[in-house]
Amino acid sequence: MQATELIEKLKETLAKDISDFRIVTTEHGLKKNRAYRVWAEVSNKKLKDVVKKLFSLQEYPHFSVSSGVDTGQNIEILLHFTLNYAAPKEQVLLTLRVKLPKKRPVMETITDLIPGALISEKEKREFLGIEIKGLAPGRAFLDDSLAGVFPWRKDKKGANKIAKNLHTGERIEQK
Amino acid sequence: MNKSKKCSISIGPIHPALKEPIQIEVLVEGERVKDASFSLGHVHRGIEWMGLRRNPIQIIYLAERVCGICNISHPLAFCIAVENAANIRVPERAEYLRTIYAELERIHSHLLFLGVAAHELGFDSILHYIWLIREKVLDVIEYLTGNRITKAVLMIGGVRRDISKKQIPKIKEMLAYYKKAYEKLCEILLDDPTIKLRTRDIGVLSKEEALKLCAVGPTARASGVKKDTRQDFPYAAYADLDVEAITPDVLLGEIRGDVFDRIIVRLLEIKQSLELIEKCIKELPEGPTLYEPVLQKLLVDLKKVDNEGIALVEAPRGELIHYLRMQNSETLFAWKIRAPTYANMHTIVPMLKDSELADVPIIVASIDPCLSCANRAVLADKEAIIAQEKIHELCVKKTLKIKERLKRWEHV
Repeated sequence: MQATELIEKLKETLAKDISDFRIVTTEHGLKKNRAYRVWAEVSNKKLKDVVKKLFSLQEYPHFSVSSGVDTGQNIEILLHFTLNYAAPKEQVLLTLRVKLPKKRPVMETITDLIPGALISEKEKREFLGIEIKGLAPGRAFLDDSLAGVFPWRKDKKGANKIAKNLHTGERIEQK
Repeated sequence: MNKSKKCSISIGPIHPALKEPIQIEVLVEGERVKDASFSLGHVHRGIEWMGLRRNPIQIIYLAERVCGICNISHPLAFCIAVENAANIRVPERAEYLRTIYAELERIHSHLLFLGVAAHELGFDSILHYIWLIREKVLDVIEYLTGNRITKAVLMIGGVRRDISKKQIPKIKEMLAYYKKAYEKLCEILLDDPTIKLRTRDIGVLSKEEALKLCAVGPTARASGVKKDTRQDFPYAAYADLDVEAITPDVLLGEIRGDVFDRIIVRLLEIKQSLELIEKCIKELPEGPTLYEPVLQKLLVDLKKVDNEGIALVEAPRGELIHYLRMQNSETLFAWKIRAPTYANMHTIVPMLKDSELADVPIIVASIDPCLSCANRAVLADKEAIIAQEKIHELCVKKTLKIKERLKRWEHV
């Protein structure tokens, strides 16, 4: 399948569930081969349905990772998928953006659909302090002694100090 | 030992069988592994956190230090992500040069893996032989970039160092050297009955498991998933070169998804990299190597960017992702790195299940894990840091003592 064809199907399949759909293309090499990046926003409630629908486009949609950003009022989780892989030059990089209100940053796990999302979801839980319903317990990266500190948060819950010259114990405040 | 009795064995985080810190826990019954789990997070350095306090050009050099091996792949992915956000079109010559540097990196990384694999199997003579061969590519990298490891050749919008016509013969000489060495490597790794005995049908990962667990790179390809970012998602000069994802059936006509298949894939990819470099040299277009040679101006332009960018690069271990967000500021607003080992870690669980305890080291090594890549997180100002400070303090004291002693010797 061509990338453009897949993007059309994606648009059709997810039309009711997504907003802010945009396609960014870049050109590479002498032959000006095109790479397609697709961005879309999805509500927290519909996220799981949208991920389920991706399975109608590809037997195993490849979940690459999720990124997380503290934007002040919200915590944005961006789920990056690669679709149409194994089709030379026709892969589409899809990013689904979910905005979680900081007052109640709760979302559902997708590990029941895509087991490979486990580490990524645990990372978001540890680094951003979000709750992921249905996600297996246990920490993947940070030591238990760091519970309660969420390094990627830009508020008081984040890591606002950095150790400088470890042997002197000096610490500097970071903006 | 009572075979029916299960017990749990913890391997790592520091263990002779592991080259980098990771903790693997295996549940064994006799010598048979019944279940396995792992924990990451033993080499946190806070790379992304540090990056958010630097400007994009400074981050290139920080990104290089995410990994001691993939120090082209990380800055390359970072630069492409910035170029994506800032809508910068890289000159074609720079795209070809980026491809050459990236393929040189793949050759040395795969040779490093093959040496480590031999070591894990107890064949240290092969380890030394392969790492001797690896010196050639490192010499060429040094010749082209000035450094063997951290090359510092990439820049947002292109590359910092061109390859002149005078330098091409040295690359060609390296290609000829490796074409010969490749035959020998095939003979050593593919025809040796002991290597086959230790790796055939060991640590099997089925295609379905690879797909479900979102495996990437040679780990996925060895299980039959024809996924390769160089083939699927055009970046640099790869789309011009018509790269094909390599699966083990190319050589043997079958896919078993075992350790042996993962060795085959990497071996074949060395040959593929040599061919790609050869093509790049042949088709290297003329022209500039930078979108904006005045870095001050580039920084001013980047400061005006209010957008997000994402890049995919096929690092030696598989798909590497850099996501970033820029918001009219000197520094980035967000930066996320996902290295291939991060994605491949899940796969060691099915690989280890039902294996022999003695095969655990080679199975773990077969995904070529790079834990510095997988762990980049931050440490915070809590008790945990104190122990580290004390250890560091002792290290500094010891170093100062040695320095003093050395000074005294100098006088003698």
